[in-house]
Amino acid sequence: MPRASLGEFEQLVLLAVLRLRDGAFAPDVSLLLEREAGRGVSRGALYSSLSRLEEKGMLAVSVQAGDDTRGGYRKRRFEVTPAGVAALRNARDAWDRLAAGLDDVFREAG
Amino acid sequence: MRGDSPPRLARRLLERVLLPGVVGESILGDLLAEYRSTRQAESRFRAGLRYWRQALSIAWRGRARVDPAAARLRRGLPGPGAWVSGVGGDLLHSLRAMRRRPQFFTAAVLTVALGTGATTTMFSVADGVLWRPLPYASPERLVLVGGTWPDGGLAPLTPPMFRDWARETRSFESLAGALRQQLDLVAEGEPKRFSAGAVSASLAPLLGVAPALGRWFAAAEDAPGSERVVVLGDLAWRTAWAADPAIIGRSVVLNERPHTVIGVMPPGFRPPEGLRIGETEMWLPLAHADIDLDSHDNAFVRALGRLAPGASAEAAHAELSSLSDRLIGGYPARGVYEDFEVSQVSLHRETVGDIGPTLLVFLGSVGLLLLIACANVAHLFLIRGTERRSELAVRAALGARGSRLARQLMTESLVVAASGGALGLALATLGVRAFSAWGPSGIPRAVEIGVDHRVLLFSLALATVTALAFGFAPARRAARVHPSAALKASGPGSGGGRTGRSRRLLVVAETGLTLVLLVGSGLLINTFVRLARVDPGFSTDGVIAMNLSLRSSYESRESRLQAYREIGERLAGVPGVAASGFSNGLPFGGGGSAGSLVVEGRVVDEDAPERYVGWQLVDDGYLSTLGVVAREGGLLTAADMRDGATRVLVNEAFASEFWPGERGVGRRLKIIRTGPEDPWLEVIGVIPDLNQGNLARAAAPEVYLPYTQPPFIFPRMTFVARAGAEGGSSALIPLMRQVVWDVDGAQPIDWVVPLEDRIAGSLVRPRFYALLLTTFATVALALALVGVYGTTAYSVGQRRRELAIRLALGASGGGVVRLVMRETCALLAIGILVGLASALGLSRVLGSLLYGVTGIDPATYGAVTLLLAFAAALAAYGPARRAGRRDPTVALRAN
Repeated sequence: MPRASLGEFEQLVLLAVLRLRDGAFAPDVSLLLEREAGRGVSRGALYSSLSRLEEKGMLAVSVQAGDDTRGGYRKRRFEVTPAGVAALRNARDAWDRLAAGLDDVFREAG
Repeated sequence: MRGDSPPRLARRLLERVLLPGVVGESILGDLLAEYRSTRQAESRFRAGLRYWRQALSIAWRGRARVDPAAARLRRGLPGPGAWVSGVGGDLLHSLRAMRRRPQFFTAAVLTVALGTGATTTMFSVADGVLWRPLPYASPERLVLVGGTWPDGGLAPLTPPMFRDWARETRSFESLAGALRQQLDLVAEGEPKRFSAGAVSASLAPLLGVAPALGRWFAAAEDAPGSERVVVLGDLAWRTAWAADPAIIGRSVVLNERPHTVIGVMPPGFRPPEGLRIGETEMWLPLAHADIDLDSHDNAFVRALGRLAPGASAEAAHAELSSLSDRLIGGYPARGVYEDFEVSQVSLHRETVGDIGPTLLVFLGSVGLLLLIACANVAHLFLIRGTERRSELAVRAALGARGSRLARQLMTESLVVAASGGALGLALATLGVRAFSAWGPSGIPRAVEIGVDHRVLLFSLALATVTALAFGFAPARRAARVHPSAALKASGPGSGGGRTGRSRRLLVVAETGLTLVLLVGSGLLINTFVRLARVDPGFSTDGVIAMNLSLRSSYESRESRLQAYREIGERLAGVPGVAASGFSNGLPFGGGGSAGSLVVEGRVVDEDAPERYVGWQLVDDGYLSTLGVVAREGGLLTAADMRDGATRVLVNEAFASEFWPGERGVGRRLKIIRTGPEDPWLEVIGVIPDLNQGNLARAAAPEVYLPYTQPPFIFPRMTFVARAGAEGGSSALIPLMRQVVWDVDGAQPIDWVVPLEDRIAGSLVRPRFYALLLTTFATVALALALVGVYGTTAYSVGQRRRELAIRLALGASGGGVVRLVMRETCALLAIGILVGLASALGLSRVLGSLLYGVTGIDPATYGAVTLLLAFAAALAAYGPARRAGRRDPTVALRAN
């Protein structure tokens, strides 16, 4: 199976889900992205990415019963699959390789 | 718990957009939980706002965007990751498509907006004036009744006749009479004049209206000898009494008599225009009108009736006719009732009058404009449809059904139509305001024009029909796409076939429709220019006109003559006045009267025993103040103003009708007749026709009499004064007022205006009509040119390869240009022929709006045809020239 590539936003989504460890729900992912990545997240884009990552087999979804605060609607809990972790690792390796030796550039720019 | 659920509309949108299933469900749940926590932590408003933002973002970005090509293929076929439903999806797809192709959609939306905006504006006007029911209870049962003028118009009744009709009729539930009055209020400062209606007590119940404050007249108050009461109009109440509610029951002095105020009419209430009592500011009982209610001498009373249940208009007419015959038999004075005939006309028809055909012409014109706009948008869609043939073909090959593809294309046209319609409605709101602000005065019911729910419904329907009109052809073609054929033909160079035919048809239609509009506007411009050139027979430069209606205390002929003479003399003495005079009629200002004519040695009219012609009273200064010079003989002098003088003037229309080719001076006639011993009046001069009333109508025969001559004189006179070389004429206005108040400090003045303003007034309508239709035609022309340009450019693009081969094989650039132009010009020629034929057929509807040109004026037709042909050829030439200059190698290499 050829390695699926990840868009930047997809990487951020996967990382956020990983960080939330025992089960991430979409609103938590959204909050974390906003706080840590410092960018506003369009809810439509987030749900799209989540569905797409699920299609690519990088996220696993379990369905839980909904409580009263959410009007009894069921909720989806996301977990990163091994394939997802592998894709993230690939992305980081590639980044590291390409960024090696460029520290002075980053420092100057910063 | 109202605040506990998110905004309903946003939620509906989500429910509509999300497919059933756990994904959609979980999203709804997420958002609901977030809404509730935000609402508790922050505010309901912020929570709602946030919910909306999220819902919209989901609706907008919701579908999986793997990569654009794959997404496009999947559209219409619910794929594994799809969680957004069909129609919503089409809608969103259309919105996204709009974002991707901004020029295409901007052009389409603007075109639709222009078409629907113009049409909605005209519809609002036509609706307000023609179709909306009159603002009275069951207006369709309201009928005006009366006698008949010699020209067939509805005439007023004598007071006794009206009273007897009202008492005896069975076909009418009730009959109300009205006549115009003036009420003068002399308080501190300048005396104020109010226009008032003396009306039957039955009028308000008959119309189904009631005062906003106080009460209407009781029947007993509409009887001679009763206490004098008055009902105020809203405007008079606000301006003269500062809207004081304590006015009810107070006594006010009007026409030097105390009146008790018993009521105030609601704002916006206007008497029916057919009663001819104008913008009535006050209401009196008819019994207290300032006329002799038992006199058979004059017909003053306009009558309005409400048909009884079950009574038809025809039966009512028959009843009144036989009733009149019986009544006249019992009246003492039969002379005035000779040949009396009952006239009857529905209030609606009388109110709307002859404006109907005019408005329908303009509504028809904007309809044509809308058609052109639709043709243009259809054109855009066809071109776009051709561009995406391969996309549609691939999708059809992948299993999308034709109907599914058609639905998506229809959604796109609906989105364009809806956006264009919304923008058009905004344009119409502005347009209606512009129409009220700049439109000609005298359009009946102008105050009722506005954008309301009927107009909204209309523009909604219009937008939908528009979308169907321009979206249908492309959608039908999409539904018929045969994958293999379409894929095969999807390369460039395949611009022929069905699309080509549709596009050519659209160019022909656009050209034809535009020509029709251009012809119409050309004819109206012609009319306006001719009217502006009509020599009115007098000069208005620096002339100020002042209208005066003497107070009711001037009752006798002597007192009136005395007042006119004195004001006239003082006016002549005002410094800065070079010439002055007075008359009871003004050019274009109405006034004057008609009398039955006898001409010595002539049978005036073989068919009728009597012939009425207009006469007008003048003093010795009036005509020379207006710069009138006698064409034959001379003008009246001061000596002719003495009692017993018998010299008069006639106009050219009179002379050429009764003494064609002969001298008029020295002839004798009688005009105002009181008995057999009337003296003959001697014509001492023939003056040019002073167009009375309307520039567009040919002048009618008229007689000019010294104001002292008739045995009676009306209490209404217009004074004119011309400023000398030094000093502006408007400086005269306050001086003229002062002259009147020097003579009588309690005498109000009706109006003082430069005479020019009154003349320009008669050109306002034709100018406005010409302007309106020219605007439509210009927009149509622009749209058509865009259409011609677009179709030529497109067809050149499609035939790139063919044209390149021709060039490569040695055809000259000019030859290619000619080839392309020949094709477009053929289409234009067909369009122009079709347009000319339609314009010839349609020009008849312009009939009454034209003056001095016929509906088939060859010069106008020729000029606009040339204009259109030239402009359209120019529009086509650009793309054709580019095609001729293209380097064949480059063109051939590109795919």
